[in-house]
Amino acid sequence: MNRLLLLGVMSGWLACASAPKKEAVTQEAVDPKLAALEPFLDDLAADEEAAEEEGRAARRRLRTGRMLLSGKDIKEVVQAAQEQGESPLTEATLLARGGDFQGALAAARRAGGLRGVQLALAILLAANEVEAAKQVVAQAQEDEGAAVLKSWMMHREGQSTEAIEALRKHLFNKGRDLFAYTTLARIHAEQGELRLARLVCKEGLKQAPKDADLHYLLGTVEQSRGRKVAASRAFQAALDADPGHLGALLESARQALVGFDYGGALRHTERAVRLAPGDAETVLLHALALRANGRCDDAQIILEQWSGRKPLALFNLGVLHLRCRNDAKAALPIFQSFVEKASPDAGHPVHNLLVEAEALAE
Amino acid sequence: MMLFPMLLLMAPADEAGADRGRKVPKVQGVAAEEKVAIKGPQVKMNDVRLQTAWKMDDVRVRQLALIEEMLELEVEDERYAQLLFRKAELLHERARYYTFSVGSTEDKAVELERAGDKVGASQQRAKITQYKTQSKRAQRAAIGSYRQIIRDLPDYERMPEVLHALGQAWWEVGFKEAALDTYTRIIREFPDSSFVPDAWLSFGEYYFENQDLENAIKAYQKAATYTQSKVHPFAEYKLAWTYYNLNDFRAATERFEKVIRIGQEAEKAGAAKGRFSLGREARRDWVSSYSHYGDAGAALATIKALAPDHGRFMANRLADIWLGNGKDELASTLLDQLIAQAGNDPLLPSYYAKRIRSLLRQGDRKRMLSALTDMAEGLRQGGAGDAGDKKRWQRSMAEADLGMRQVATRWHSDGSKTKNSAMLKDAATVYELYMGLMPDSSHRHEMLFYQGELLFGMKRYQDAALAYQGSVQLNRKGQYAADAALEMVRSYDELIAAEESKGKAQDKAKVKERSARMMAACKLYLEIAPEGEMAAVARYRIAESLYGQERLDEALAAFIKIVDQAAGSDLSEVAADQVFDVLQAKKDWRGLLRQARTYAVDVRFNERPEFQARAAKIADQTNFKVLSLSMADLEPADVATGFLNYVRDNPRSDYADEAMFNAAVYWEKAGRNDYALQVRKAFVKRFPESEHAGRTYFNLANVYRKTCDYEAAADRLERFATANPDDELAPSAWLDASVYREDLGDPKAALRDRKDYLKLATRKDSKEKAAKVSKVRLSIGKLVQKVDGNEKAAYYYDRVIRDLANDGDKLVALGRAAEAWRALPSRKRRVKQGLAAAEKSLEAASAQAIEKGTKLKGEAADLVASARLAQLEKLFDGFSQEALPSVNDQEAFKAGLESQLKTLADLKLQYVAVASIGSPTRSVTALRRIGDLHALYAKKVLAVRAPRNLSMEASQVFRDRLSDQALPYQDRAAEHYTTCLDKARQWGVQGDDTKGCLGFLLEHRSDLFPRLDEESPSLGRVWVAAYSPLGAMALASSDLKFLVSEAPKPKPKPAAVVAEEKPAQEQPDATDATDAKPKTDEGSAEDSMAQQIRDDGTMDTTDSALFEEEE
Repeated sequence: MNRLLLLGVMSGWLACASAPKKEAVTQEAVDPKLAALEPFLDDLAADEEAAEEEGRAARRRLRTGRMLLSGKDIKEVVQAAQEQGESPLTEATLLARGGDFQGALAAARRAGGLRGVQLALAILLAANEVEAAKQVVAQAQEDEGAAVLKSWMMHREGQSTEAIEALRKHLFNKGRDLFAYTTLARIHAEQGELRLARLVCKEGLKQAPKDADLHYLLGTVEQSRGRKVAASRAFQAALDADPGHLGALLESARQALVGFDYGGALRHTERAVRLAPGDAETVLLHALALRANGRCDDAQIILEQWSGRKPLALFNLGVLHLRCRNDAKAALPIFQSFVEKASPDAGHPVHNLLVEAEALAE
Repeated sequence: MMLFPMLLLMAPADEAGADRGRKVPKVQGVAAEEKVAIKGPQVKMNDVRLQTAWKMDDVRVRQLALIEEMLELEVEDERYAQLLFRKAELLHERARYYTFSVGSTEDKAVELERAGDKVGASQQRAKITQYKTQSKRAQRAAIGSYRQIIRDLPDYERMPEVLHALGQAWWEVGFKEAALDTYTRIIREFPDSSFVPDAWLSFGEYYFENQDLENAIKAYQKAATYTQSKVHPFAEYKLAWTYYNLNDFRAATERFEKVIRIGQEAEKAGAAKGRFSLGREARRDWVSSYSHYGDAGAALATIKALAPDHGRFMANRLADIWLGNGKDELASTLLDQLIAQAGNDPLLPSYYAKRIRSLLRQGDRKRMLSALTDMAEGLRQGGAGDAGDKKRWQRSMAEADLGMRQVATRWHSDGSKTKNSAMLKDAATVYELYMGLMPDSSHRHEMLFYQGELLFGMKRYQDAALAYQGSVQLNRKGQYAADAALEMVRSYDELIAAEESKGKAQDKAKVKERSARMMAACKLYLEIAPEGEMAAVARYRIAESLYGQERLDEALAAFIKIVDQAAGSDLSEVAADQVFDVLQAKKDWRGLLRQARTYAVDVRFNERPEFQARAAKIADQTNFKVLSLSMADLEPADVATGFLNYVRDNPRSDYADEAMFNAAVYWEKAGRNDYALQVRKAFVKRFPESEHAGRTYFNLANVYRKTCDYEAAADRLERFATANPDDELAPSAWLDASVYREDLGDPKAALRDRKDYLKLATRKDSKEKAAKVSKVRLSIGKLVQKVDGNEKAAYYYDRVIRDLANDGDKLVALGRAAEAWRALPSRKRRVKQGLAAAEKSLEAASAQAIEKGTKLKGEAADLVASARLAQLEKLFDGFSQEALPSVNDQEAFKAGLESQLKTLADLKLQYVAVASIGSPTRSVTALRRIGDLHALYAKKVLAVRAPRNLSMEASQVFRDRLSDQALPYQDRAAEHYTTCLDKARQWGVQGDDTKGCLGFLLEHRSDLFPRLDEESPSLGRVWVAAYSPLGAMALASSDLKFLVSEAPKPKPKPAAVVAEEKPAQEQPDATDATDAKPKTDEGSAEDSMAQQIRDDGTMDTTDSALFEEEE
């Protein structure tokens, strides 16, 4: 991770002295579904040209999104984005979703601005690079959300009360700032002050009724309060505002799984996994949805791909062999491997499953 | 602003209107024209005798001188007597000449005096004295000469003539006795003389003058006997008058008749028509005499027989006399005959007029109106004939004119005095008839004016205006022109005011039309009386009319001119106000500011401090307006600064507070809540009395709310609501504050605030909805529970039930009361009693709700459904424990199967009913129980043991058959459980019931419901884009088209499932609603809130959106 930090910080300072190398393009068989998609994408290109002629801003952003949704490989999408001169921020997002956090960090720092800094900070914090994150925050300008980010860092360091005060002061000074509302709501939620978090979300939504993040955040707060219907509505509102909101997609999928709506869950995870194919949580939830819908082969492929990186994938792969394939013999070593790697506590279901697999294997 | 000047101008109009006393009309000379006087004989003796006109005096003087010379030389008596007689006659003529000269000179003197020539008049007076002296002197000389002849020349052959001349001379100088002596000598000494009748006539005259009528009759009769005499007709005429004076009218009439016939005979004999004036007098006097006894019915025939050529005039005069003497009936009879026989009679108008006069005195308005109508009809086509007839017609029409005027004006006058509206209405009719009949009357000008006055008094303003206008237009220099023009203006004024009060003024076209008329009227007035007392008002009205016609520039110029011309007067003040109005209508704010500032310091208005203050206020207001408009396109921060600068520059402005308030709002819009906060704090200190101060705390709360400082927001809301309990936002302020307090973890304060909310929300004038208040009451129970514990909460719920709005809320309160009692650890008696009472009430209420089919939702539905489920649970237990009879007794076994199936069906129906109550949680329970019933039945069937005596094969066949029996029920159980899970997911319900449903499906439908022992991945991340390492990548809905087309279609469900689901589909009325409706409401509410907050920076809603009910 140090390498990531170094690269991130350097790319911030040096502002990307050289362009990233292109990977060798491998020849792939053309998927007939994707081929059918081409006219759809061509229409979009025509629309963009028309927009440019009419002086409207072209909606290139949508093109990358559509490519992702259509199932194009994210590397191909990144390449298309680069070729079309998409913003570094788009590139950074695509790279992160493809799992290339290092490249994403570099691109985010290159992009700068509020969202560039936010993305860089999020990547660093997800990688637990707190010090580097602090540096990013320290260097952030006022128009890059410095005040809010500093408050967030204060909260992370246990100074939540001060962080809340600072955010309120910031709201005084700056007026409407959705980022500040979001951050304040998160802090309250993490503090367990769910009712206050709800109020803040509502306040933010008064000012930006179509803000998907705030709807999503409100959904999580309501979910934590046990108000499942309100949470479900909030997640749906988030998806109405932004059909590609990953958090809302995953929470909706999770709610669907809990409610035995396996078909609904799969629809949500399919969309999510196309938008973020490099994200472990998304992919593994998708695998679970596939398995719940009886598509054990597809689930197995994903789990096998991720079993080396994520213990959860290993465990779920074992369960799949045991329950879906009825192959206790295959399941047994996988469970054993999981126990070795993850060292689960005594209450973990793997222990019972291991006993069951042993018995059946005999 | 428009009202004030209108009122100011209306005030004098009112005084001049109904209460000012309109001019009462009076027709001049009515009395004189009304009565026909009988003046006695109009012909004097001298007039008869002295037909000869005198010659020039110088001729006489020369003749006298010549005669004097001849007398000196004459010696022969006869010739001497002739010369002397001639001298006497000349002197007599000369005396008469001077007498006439006195008369003519007196006329001249009077004229000169009237002309103011006093010198000339006095010269004429001196001449008169001289003429009188000379007359007397000449008369004396003449008498002397006559007497000299009689004394000295008694044999003169012309002695009777001399005596007659001397008698005349004595008569003329007033010595009538001497004259009679002389006449006596003629009668005695010269009985055959032609002067004898003359002498008798002189005696008659003497006796007539001395009222010795008997001797007068004798003397006149003597004179009349000389039928060839010149004086014969006169003697007859005087004889008639003597009888008249003796009241012997018939005799008088006969004598007058004689005179008339003498005249007729004289005319026949060759005298020129009309030359015999005594005949004309006799006809007049005959009528006078006849009028005393004549018969109205026969009068016309008598007259026509007597004087066919003069009959209509005589009859007309007779009618006049009768009218004059109050013999109206006689007059009417005669007039009716005259009218009936009139034909082309040019006196017809006169007949009508007289009849009207007669009716007028009788006071019968109905007959009068009828007569007038007849007259109008009868005279409409008249006036034909030769020039003479036309002239007579016109004269006669003048009489009719007078008659109609008399009627109209008298009724008008009397009606006004007695306030008799019916009479006034009749008067108006007469005016109308008059106007129709007398288009060329010289009195039309005044009559139109009076008509206007009458109509104005009757509030027929439009007709009045037209009448006044007609009067003015007929004679712009007439006596009534100025008044009529003014009243015309007032009429339009009143007309407009009346129409406005009736709401007709909404019609803009009408208003414009009226304004145009008003303007025309005022212009007419100004033409007639440019300096008249109302000229200024007229100019004002013109300006006002221009304003009314939206000719704003012209109106503005006119008003400004009036202000300049009449500066300092009431009118100028009104006009100045109108200037403000016009500028406001033009939206010329800068012009308004300039003008208001000018008038505010105008020295001409120094005596009008109130106006100056008003102008200053308008200037202040406009200044603020100009500032606001000038900043329309600026950024909010610049606008805020502008408003603060205004406060700095205009600290005493009435709008300083508003400016400061606006500054705070615009700072908020600019996102500078800190500045807004400071400004608001300063505002409260500086303008504590401002109407905006009340809501300052509210707005402060708004700022704090936006900055998520809910502690401070709640505090400000509480302060606001405490200070402004009557403000419409006060209830929601308490409720919002309460929500904040609760969310801040201060239930005590939240409870206090919510109670304060209730105080305001339950006032009579409160606009809070009862349902909402009811919900708040229930929510207070939970706060009471938190603050004061279960027991107080239990009492609270017991107490609050009566205040709740609907059965659902009452059920909830009952349920919560029972729950609170149950939660009490105490086993004291009062707790037990409380619990028992609460449960009893709840049970009764639930039963009643089910019985009535009350639509319930939420907690109330939960309670009722729970109660019902509790009842069913015993039946369910019974069903589950009841085993099937042994198959060994086939009849019993069969009956057992049927019995159990029947129980299953009954219970199923009852559970479906529970699912229909409206409680999602309990509906899931009910669905689970329906699945359980089927599963249990299948299990019971499968558990049946085969008869002992069966072979293995037969036993297997038996089991297979049982399986065939049981499997459909297992399938149905699976379907119900699936429905259970579907609905649970849909309603967000999770719990033991869903687990129960799932348990069966995991076992029996593992293909659809696989046992998922896997772990769901969760990194515990919050996927807010700003904190997500994956960043944001917003998509549009259209981007999902492809995915939708690609997604697999949902599998069609088996027909059985659909069929079985039917009962359950009835219940989700409530479920569908809970699923879809709130989402829409929430979205629209948020949009609307966001809009409001963008618009004015004030609190988003009067209804707390934060107060949440239980899910």
